[in-house]
Amino acid sequence: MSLGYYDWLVKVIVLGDSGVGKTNILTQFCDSKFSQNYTATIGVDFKIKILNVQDKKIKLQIWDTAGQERFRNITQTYYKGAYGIIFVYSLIDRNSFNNVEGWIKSILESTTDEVCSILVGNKLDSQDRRVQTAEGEKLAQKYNMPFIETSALENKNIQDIFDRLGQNLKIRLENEGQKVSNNIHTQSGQFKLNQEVNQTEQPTSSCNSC
Amino acid sequence: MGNQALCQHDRTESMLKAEYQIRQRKVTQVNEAVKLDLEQEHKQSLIPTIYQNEQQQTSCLHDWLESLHESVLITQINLNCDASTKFLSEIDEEEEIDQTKQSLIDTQEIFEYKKSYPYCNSNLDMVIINFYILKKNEFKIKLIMGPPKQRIRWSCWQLMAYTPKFHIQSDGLSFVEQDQKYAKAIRKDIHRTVTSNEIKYFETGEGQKDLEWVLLKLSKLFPKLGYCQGMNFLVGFTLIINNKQTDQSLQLLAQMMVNPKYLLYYIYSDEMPLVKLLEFICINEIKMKIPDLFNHIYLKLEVQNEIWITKLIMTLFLYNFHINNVCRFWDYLLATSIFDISDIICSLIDLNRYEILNMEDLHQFIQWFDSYQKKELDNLQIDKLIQNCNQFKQKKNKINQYALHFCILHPMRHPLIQQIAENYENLTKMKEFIKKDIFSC
Repeated sequence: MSLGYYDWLVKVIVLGDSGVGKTNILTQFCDSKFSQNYTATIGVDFKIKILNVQDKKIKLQIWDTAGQERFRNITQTYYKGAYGIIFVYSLIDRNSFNNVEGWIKSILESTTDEVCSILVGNKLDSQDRRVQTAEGEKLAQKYNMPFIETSALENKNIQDIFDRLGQNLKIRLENEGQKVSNNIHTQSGQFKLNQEVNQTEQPTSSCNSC
Repeated sequence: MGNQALCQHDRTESMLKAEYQIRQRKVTQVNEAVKLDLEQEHKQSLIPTIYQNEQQQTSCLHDWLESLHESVLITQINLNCDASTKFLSEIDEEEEIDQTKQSLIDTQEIFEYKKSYPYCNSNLDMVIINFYILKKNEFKIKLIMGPPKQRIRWSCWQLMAYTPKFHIQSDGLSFVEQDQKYAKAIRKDIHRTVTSNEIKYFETGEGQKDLEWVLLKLSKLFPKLGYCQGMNFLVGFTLIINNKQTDQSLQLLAQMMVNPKYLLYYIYSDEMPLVKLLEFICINEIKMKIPDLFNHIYLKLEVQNEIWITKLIMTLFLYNFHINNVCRFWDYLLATSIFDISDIICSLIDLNRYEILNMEDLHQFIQWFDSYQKKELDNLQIDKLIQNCNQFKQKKNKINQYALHFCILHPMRHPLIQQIAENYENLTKMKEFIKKDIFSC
């Protein structure tokens, strides 16, 4: 089980059009698996993984959302309280790239909190590229977020998504932690400082805790 | 005294033997009429199961065939003579009490049925219709207990889904002007629907082709609906159950979309109004009938509907359960209504109450819930689950009350929910609303 030691518990959501590979990215990251046979996500799926960032352990509670537009009213309720957001598009689907800004705007509309985001162009393994690297970089720059191209199929750069996101989350959480220590009760309750610090359990590694 | 006992024993034995012979004769007679024996073996093998009990299945089949005997006789009379009384147009309106009177289907009504289901005109279908009309309650109980053959199941489902006087014409739909947006979305999902390697029909790609065809036709039939993820699971499933009959899948689902008992259209339409109402009903039913589980699941574990109930509703259990188990859930829902999905959900958690109450976090709940994807419940387990639904069954007028309550809490509600609140028990008004809402420009 995932009840080992961690420093922070953080909610992360994965957004993007249907069929861009959100579930495959998560399954590769959390379970080291890839399957051509995953069913389309209905509603919201959930995974847990502990990420080591330098001397800290961040427990990621990752919400994998359905990409079809009609599910927006369901998935939007999950935006609240998210500390990290992974925006995914497919390098072989121009529309999915064009729609990224829509996803970013929907986040901006529904939350006033500062979130750590990353832009991911998936399906790097395919020969039929429709979105150039420079375009992804430009978009990421516009919204001031890191950018990475990945292949869930070949497990290329998947860990990097979470490492880079983790770095930014750690900086933010440490800043928040300072604020919290000045003001014991956070009003938002949107992230939790580790509630198991006082337990006697041995810390677990980031790899075996899912 | 001893001789008397012996005579009694002989008499009982001979009576039993006679009864057995009568039963066998009935079974043979029905079998000849509906030609079930001609069912090819490969039809059953579309869904591999690890729980095959042939003796039990044969006994169940004979039981069904015996029940159909009277209906076979009536169908034969009806087809040969012009004797008739009434029915079919009143299927939904009738009280659910077994009719003791002898009633025959009006020939004209059979034509109406055939018109609505142009591909469903076998003797078996007619016999099933007769059985339902004669013994509505027994029919539903038998359906809930699970028909022994997919052909019988499919006939029952078609009859249950049938919406009287609601003709859905699909023959003239061409792909020429198809909405590319939906076609593209459908194509993205046809490989992500039936992913089991055990079902050859989908492994070879034939299933994907049929799935795409039915989904495209559905999106043409209901242009305001188009395509929504979740519909793909339903189509894939029906194609497996009816052995690749694309037209019949299309008809069944189209009927279920508009039938006031199932209203599937509103699960997938914009804003998903029926999903919201069903979630509302489920939560309240759990809260009222099993409050300890409600407190644990929703307050302690902080489980949200979207990770379990939404999936169950939007795929009618197909996302999370083995296909053979889903057959039984559909038997139950088709014999009752879409609103009885809450009975199954309550029954499921009630039977797993010990395990759930011992869970400490959301992750454990999700692991438990996801574990159903990987296993097939055996017959005993699924029978128990279905039987346990009885204690959670809600009365029909409760649906109106829930819808009304929902309307009070949500001023911006969808007109469907308002309609259910006001007219759920008035089928004519419900049908008028549906027709206007779905098909008017």
